[in-house]
Amino acid sequence: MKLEKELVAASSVPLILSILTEGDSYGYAIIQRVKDLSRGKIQWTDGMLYPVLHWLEDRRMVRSRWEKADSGRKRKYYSIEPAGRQALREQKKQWLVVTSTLNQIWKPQHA
Amino acid sequence: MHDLEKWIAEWRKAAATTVSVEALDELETHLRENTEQRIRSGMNPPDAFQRALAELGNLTRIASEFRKLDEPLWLPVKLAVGMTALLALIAAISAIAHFAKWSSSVNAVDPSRSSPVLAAHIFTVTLGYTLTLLIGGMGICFVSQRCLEDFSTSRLHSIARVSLVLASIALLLTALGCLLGAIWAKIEWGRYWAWDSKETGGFSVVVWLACYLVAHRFFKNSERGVLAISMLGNIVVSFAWFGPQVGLHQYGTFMLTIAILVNVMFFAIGFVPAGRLRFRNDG
Repeated sequence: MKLEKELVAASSVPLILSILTEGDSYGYAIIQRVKDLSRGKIQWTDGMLYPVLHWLEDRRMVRSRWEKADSGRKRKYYSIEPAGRQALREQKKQWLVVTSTLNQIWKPQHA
Repeated sequence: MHDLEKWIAEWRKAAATTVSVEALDELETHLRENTEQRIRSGMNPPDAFQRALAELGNLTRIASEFRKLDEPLWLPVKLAVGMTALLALIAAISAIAHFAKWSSSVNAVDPSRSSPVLAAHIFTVTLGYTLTLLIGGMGICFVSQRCLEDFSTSRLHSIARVSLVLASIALLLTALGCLLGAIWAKIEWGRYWAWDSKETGGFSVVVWLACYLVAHRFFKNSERGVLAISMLGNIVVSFAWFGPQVGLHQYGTFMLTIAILVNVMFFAIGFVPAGRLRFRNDG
């Protein structure tokens, strides 16, 4: 099953912010985490993650820093900021409204 | 791994003009991680690189997403830059006209009153003072808009950069104007400097602008604070421009009082934590 690109785009911000609430992370790891969580059903074009991360940083929802990993490779780590947590709370409320509404409509059909 | 370095170097070369260096560094790190992960899981290096490249996506599309982040210039910045260009044009035309007038009146009774040195002094000081007022005006606009909505990091950087450039030009012009004023005073009055009210005013503006540039240099991460203090320049220029007229002309006192009150008020507002003055109901 392939998700519609509009749905993938709309879910990218809450997904990234939610992953960052688990701890600081970097682009490649964020994509791997999304793949794991969705069991490969959410397929992002890897490069498209970075404009979203920069957009979040621009709006001070996340903060970034370059750091050297144990392997010696420099990675850009992102951490969530208070504005990001606030935005995530808002997004969560909205997504819950959508999913609970859809669930109410769909449940009887599956019952 | 040697080939990987070569492929990545080629990819970087091809992508160099599409996105910023920092974004490119980040994409490169991603490309390396993905390629190496695939090689570790048994894929041969050329296939691993090609697969990672395909998963990274089309660079033109990525670049177009990055471009969407670039916001257009803020209106007060556009106005300040436009007014600077207009003032420079007017000053240049006036200077040429003044010089032509002076050339035709060298034999007049008092040619020194319209000498090129005096004219250049007036033009450079006027431009320097006006630019300082424009920087302060931008500071007022910045503080006012911040009461309604915060600025994005990229916009804040661009406003601070324009403010820095304008302040550098203003410092250069005001310092040059003071120097020309001193030369003219030597020709006319037989002394370079006497710390009279206009000279002190000009010197204060130069010192203020130098301090403002130092603040930009040392507080790179506090652009909000630096932009908020820019309006103090309005008070310094008001003293330099209108201060010497206090007592001689009523408008001097009036303008000075208004300038101080308005700028002190906005300066105070500038230090209210962002968002406290916003009336928007987010709940």
